[in-house]
Amino acid sequence: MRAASAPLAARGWVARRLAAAGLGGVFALLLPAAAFAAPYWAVLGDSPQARSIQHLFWIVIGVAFVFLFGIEGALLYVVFRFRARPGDEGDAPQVYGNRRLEVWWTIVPALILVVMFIFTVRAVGEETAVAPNALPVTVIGHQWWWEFRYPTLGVVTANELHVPVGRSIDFTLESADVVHSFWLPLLGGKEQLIPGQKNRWTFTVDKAGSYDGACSEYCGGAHAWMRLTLVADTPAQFEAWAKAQAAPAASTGASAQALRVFTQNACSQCHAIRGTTASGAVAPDLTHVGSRTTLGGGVLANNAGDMARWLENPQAVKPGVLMPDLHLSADDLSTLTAYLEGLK
Amino acid sequence: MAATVLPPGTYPKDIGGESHTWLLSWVASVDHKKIGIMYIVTSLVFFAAGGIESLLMRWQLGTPENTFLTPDEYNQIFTMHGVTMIFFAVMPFLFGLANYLVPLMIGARDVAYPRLNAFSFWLLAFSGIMLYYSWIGGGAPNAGWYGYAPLTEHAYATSNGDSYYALALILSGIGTIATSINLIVTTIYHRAPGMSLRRIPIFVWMIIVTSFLSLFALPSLTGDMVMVLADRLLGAHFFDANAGGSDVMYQHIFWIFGHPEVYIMALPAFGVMSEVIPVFSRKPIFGYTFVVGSGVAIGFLSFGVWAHHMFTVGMTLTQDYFFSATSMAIAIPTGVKIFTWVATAWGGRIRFRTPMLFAFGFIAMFLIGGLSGVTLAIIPIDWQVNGSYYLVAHFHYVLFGGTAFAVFSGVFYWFPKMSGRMLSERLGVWQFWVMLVGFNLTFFPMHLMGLEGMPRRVYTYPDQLDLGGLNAISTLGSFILAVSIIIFIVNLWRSIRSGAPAGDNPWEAWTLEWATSSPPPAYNFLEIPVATSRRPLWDLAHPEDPDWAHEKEHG
Amino acid sequence: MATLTIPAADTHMGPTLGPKRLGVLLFIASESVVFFVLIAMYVVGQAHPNGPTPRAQLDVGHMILYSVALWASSATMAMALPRVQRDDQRGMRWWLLATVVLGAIFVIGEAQEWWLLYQDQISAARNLWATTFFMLTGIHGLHVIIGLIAIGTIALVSLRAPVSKSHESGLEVVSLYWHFVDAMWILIFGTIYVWSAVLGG
Repeated sequence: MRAASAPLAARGWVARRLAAAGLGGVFALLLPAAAFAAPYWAVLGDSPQARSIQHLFWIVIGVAFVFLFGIEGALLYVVFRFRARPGDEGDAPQVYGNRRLEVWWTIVPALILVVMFIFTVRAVGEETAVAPNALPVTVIGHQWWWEFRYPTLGVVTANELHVPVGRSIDFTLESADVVHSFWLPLLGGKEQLIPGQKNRWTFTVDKAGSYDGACSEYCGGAHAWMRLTLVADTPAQFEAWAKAQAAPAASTGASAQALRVFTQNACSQCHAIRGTTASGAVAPDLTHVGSRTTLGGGVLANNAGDMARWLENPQAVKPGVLMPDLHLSADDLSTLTAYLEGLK
Repeated sequence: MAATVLPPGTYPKDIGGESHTWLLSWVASVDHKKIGIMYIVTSLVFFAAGGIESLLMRWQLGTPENTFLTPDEYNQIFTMHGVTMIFFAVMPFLFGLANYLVPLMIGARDVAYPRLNAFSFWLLAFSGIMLYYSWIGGGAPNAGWYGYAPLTEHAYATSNGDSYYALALILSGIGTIATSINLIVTTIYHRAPGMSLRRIPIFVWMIIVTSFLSLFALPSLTGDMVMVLADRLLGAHFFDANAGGSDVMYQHIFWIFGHPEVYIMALPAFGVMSEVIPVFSRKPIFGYTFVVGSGVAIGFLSFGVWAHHMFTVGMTLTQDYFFSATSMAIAIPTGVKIFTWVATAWGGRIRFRTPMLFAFGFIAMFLIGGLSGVTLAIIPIDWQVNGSYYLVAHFHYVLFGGTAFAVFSGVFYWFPKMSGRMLSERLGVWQFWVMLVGFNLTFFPMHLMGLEGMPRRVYTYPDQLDLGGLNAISTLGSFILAVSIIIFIVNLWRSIRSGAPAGDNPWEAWTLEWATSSPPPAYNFLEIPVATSRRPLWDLAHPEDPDWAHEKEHG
Repeated sequence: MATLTIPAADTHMGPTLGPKRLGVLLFIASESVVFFVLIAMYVVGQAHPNGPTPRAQLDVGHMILYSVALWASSATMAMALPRVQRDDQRGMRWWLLATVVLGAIFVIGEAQEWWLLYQDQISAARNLWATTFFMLTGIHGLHVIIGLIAIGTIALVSLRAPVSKSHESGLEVVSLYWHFVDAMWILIFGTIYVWSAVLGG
């Protein structure tokens, strides 16, 4: 019994196809417009490592597009050429296969992939070579902030790291709690930070500027606000920065009251400020907190207003953050804000 | 076609049927068809739950720095979305379809162990309910569907959610292993006369490969989950780095399961394609041996590619190269399948009914997911896009553009057999186009978000990154996608109540499930059919040019 | 389907194994993956000595006796099967009883091992070695106990309904499982006891 094999109303069907194609066109125009407003690692890249990935990406995408358009084109051709016309009820000529063709379409992609693999090995070599004069930086992932240590310079900072332009950086990646991942898209690739393990990563920034990055392995609650900023300085600027960061705290807002507020509200149990008694190690080092551009792993800009907002109730700004609500009085809040903002 | 329905009372009664109430006839059933339908209905319920979760996520991400959901809620929802879709929507659907079809396709009366079959289903249903009970029982799991240690350790996940997660995956895994054993033994021992292994339908072949994958992949997951539970409940130290536990071992063991799992979700979809495309092209499958062989090759290779999920954990370069090479290699048999489907349709007289529309949608979309998969096998590119929205785009093109399109193709194709009624062609065509547009609007922009640097699993993103536009398009798309699902539900509802009668073989198909009535009687076939070739019903309709005459030259 | 008269190219032929025994073999193959995972975790965990060690806590000479009992139970199980073919249900029951007794001796030995560790305040929570040790021996012990229950049940049921001569009987199926559990212990015993005795892990 053949209940419903009447041919489809062919014309309506084609009309719907055209409508859909139109929609697809609109969408193809909209996407790039939305897209090219922002920086893309696939088109920008400010380190040799990032550009090496970029080149490989476009080679692979190029080959992929040959297959994509070839096969999608074949599909469209099949749709229009081989669809049953109204009243065409019969079967097609029975073709069971073609062994020669089958062997070819196995071998050709295999050969293409062999070439890709050679490109891959070459690119991996380019991206993992650490230069001999590299600057060592230790990155420690915490829920949900970054700790950066420069063992040769005596600098400890958080969420914002500075590097000199043109010098290879030798990163050691560690985690204090769960798995994180260190990613600066425009500088090339990422690597996980795994508890109980030391991973290595490297790149050389060749253009001064500020780069956005983020934790890209889900690490619990406030994963979304575990962002980081990398500032690439000229060698002279970097030297000045490192010297200032290595110095003990000196705040324009320092006062006996500020220090009392800081220690009495348990801030010092988690945070360290070198040059004071505060030496906690589970939260960001605040010795030069005023010199950074963001607060709370990128959730706020760093200015007096935002600092006050943060201190007033961190949970409201970055839900899930491990810093408790301190219930500061208005007076204490402004004293503490002035003190911390002054820690340049 | 020979009528196979005799007057009532002529043959043995349905086990668990007739003498029971309607409800009990399902709950107590050991009939592979009823169990198959229960699997499918269960999977659709979970699919709806997972879909609602995805809409909540998309609403939250539609605008930057949105506060519709708290991070805690978002993290539970995205975890539940992943776990639900993989373990309680896609897998039960595919195993349900296999349950329904494998005995019919090989000319058997039931599976080898009918009661074990019922046990497997109820284990799955129970574990799914237990997983969802976690919302009431103190919080849903919140460590992502692959729950990387040590995030599931008690120190970081204090609610009971991750214990429910581990238990649910252990239980559903046991059910899946039991079903897999059942399907393998059924295919080996219960084939109809003439149904040699070289003649069984490709769908059955793919189910056999899938079953072997489940058999060796799922226990690895079970092992991981048992250890997670021991850490959480007994204070053990498997994944406690302070005590020397290895979090990288968790990842290895998880992906030894996790990558075959991807093919557990893809191979049955390939099987559906290899049934639907020939029937609607009015041609036999192009190169049966290569199609089956490539499926088996994918099965073997899938156990050697797991660490391509781990190029960023700091393996040695030798390990990286090995897994990169194997991952590229697995693209070859997958490519063979795509070429084969196109070649099958080539030169056909294609009837673009709904199943075929979805089949072409499948090829077009899965191809994109497959090609982006090759980019992910290239180590340096993976370093960039791993853990970003590019990856989310990739696997949704594989699992939604691929598997889900195949699922809908299969539903439109076999619903008439299961229910005896046709689904509406008109609504089916609407659903297809709305789904195709909604799907691409939702997931295509995610490639670009990843290229721009948006990590996955973030509950929000900074305003200044200019990600708002792409995310808004994606959110819009997800609601269009939801409309297509509503059209499907309406179609299903209307057809069950008043669909056109289907008859035994509405598509003029050639495999044995179409040789019995729609729906088939409890015992499937009055007389066990004889498989004269790969397409027994073609032989019947074309005695002048039977298929078996071509078996020698195209074995 | 009477119209299908064309002779089949070949008829259906399953392997002579039988569906039930094939089923249990597939199950065993699947189960062994769980053991391989736990053995791998034990081996990897050995790289981090910290607290109690197998060298200090375990005595291979003590456990070898109980292990021999378990391996001997495979032999007694092998003796039970031919009895069925000889219509000797009584003899079969005696061999099954011997199997259960030997298996029980192993379980007692394992329990004693746990008790001794417990007296030294060593539980799964103590250190990584203890975690992997208790998990591996615990999961294996669970398999032994399930096997003992199955064998005991078959022996008891045979008092009323004799075990069939079929190669697909419940006893045949359970014996395959039992040999698997015993063979697995060779691997585990080697990993835990022989390693610590020879290499001092």
